[in-house]
Amino acid sequence: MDRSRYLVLGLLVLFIGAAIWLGRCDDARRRAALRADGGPVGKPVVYPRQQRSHSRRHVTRTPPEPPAAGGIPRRSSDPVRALERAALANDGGGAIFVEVNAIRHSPIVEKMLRCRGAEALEGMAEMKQQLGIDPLEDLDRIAVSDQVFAVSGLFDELKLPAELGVPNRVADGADLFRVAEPAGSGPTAAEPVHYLALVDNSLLISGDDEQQVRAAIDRAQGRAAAQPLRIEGSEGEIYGKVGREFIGALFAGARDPMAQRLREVVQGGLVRMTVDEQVALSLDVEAIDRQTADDLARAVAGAFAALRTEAARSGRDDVADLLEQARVDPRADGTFALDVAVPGDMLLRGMGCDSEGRPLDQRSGLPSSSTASSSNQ
Amino acid sequence: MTLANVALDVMREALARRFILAIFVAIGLGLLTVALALDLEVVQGTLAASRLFGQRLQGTAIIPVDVALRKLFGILVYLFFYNGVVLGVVASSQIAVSLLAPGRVELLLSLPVRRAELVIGTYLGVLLIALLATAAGVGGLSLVLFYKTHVVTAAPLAAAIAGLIGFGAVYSVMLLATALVRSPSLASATGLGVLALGAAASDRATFLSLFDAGWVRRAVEIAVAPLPRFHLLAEAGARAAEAGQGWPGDTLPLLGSTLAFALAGVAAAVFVIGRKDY
Repeated sequence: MDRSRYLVLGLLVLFIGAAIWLGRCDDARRRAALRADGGPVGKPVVYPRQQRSHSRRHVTRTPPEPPAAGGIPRRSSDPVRALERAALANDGGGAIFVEVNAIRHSPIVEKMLRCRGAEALEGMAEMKQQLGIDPLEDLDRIAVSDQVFAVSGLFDELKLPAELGVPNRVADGADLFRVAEPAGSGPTAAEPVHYLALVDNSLLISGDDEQQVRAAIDRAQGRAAAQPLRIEGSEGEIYGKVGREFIGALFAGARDPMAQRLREVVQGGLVRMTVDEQVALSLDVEAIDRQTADDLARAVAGAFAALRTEAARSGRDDVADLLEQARVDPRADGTFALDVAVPGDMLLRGMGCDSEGRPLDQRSGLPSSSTASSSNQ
Repeated sequence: MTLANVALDVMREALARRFILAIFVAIGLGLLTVALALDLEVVQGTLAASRLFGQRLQGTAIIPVDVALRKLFGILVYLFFYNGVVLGVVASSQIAVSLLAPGRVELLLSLPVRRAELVIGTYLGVLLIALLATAAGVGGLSLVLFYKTHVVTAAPLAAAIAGLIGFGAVYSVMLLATALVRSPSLASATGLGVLALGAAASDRATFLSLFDAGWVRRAVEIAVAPLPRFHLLAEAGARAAEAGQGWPGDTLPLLGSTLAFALAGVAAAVFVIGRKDY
């Protein structure tokens, strides 16, 4: 063989060797990439409507059941259902429920408290001293409807302000307070404009109309019928059904043309929100007709597309990724489904914390040195 | 210069056989079908509805048009890659056989064209045809999608890169097979076999786990070691198309490995032709 053939043979061996070596380099790179944590980018969001069940983080202390008096238990045997019954009148207005205690113990809020705990706990300690209850531990759930605002929890130690005066016992275990506004601030001077009820030491109900508050007490204690709340799949940490009255009350004072338009065209909806490492919302919106639902859905989808483009352009890949997974799905029955999530890291950054719940140095954007050193210790 | 002349001769050979014409007519018909069948309704930057032959492609959900197109491009890269390489293998199997035909090869060598130039020129000529066909297909598709959605993207380029590099590796083995035995059928079978084996063995660990541990697995491991990871190449193209941000830089070893395999195939063909008695 002449020299050129040796050269070709040498090149052949070299190229085969290069192909094998580079191939193995790629295999090693892929293995390393598989081992590495991909972070939030690219992880699929599981929306509340896709979850079959959702384990809540209820950690409220349960007090011993007090002895029954006159055959009627003083404490509602099921405070969760008592709150739902109190808020859900039979008029179809609906209500929104917030699992305060579950949210308090969610990963994202734990990080927030770790980051800004000192500031938050200072206010909470003051509140505990004044009210006798720990808002971070003793509050369980909140309900908001177009008629009443209700809070469930452990209120045995609750210290009600002396200004509330002597309560009117409206039922066994249920005290109703009349809250008078300062003279001149109500419709007429010294006229009571607000009502507050403490029911079975586990439920606070407030409202502007005495009859509505009394009706809520009756529903909570099982003396009146309540509209059952039926939600398929997971409820999440914030959930509820809202009717036209509720939406009307929500936007009652709004002057924004968009809010007024929403009040006109939205008839109701179902809300489900989960709070974990991120906040995910599933919303079913009922419009006045199919065309309106289609128009609303397209407007919302267009807004999401614009937000996602902006997030991608500004390098916020986690936001862009979650908005990419946002879904707007108009249906033939005049409703549309909306799913969207907000990354927990974004909420933490907004509070000046890093993704692990450490305060960020305002100037450098890095975890502050005192926090870093204390965490190392 | 001689290399370019041989490559152009390959083009002339393909044209004489109406080979290129057939490929471009097929590409044109495919694009026309897509243009007429695909109905995309874009509203405020979102894809409100998409239909192919009148059937809805998506659910009722409204999704951003670039997100929808990224998914479409990802699928198109796989289609382009595998269909394009298979079409290229079948269509180009006759070209090297014709150039190496008795009488013709002697004529070329007497011009004088060196044997290495003949092999490399043939290889480059076939790649040039593949490049033109790919450019026509990808460019035409980009125009169709731009007309339908008003979105301009370089994503189809990823399909072109993946397809061309993959075909280059496959055709180098076909050239070697033709240098050994002047048969278009054998060249096609070799090309398709390498493509199938390379694609199947893309994930080496999974592929090798199919064989009993011991000398059999070791022998298979050695045999497939230099083979290009074709499916990973298509996957990298799909990722590039979906991300819309150019070819992923972390796949350079993969590209390098495939290119090195192609060069090894061409070098082997040069070596074999160099030892032939023309």
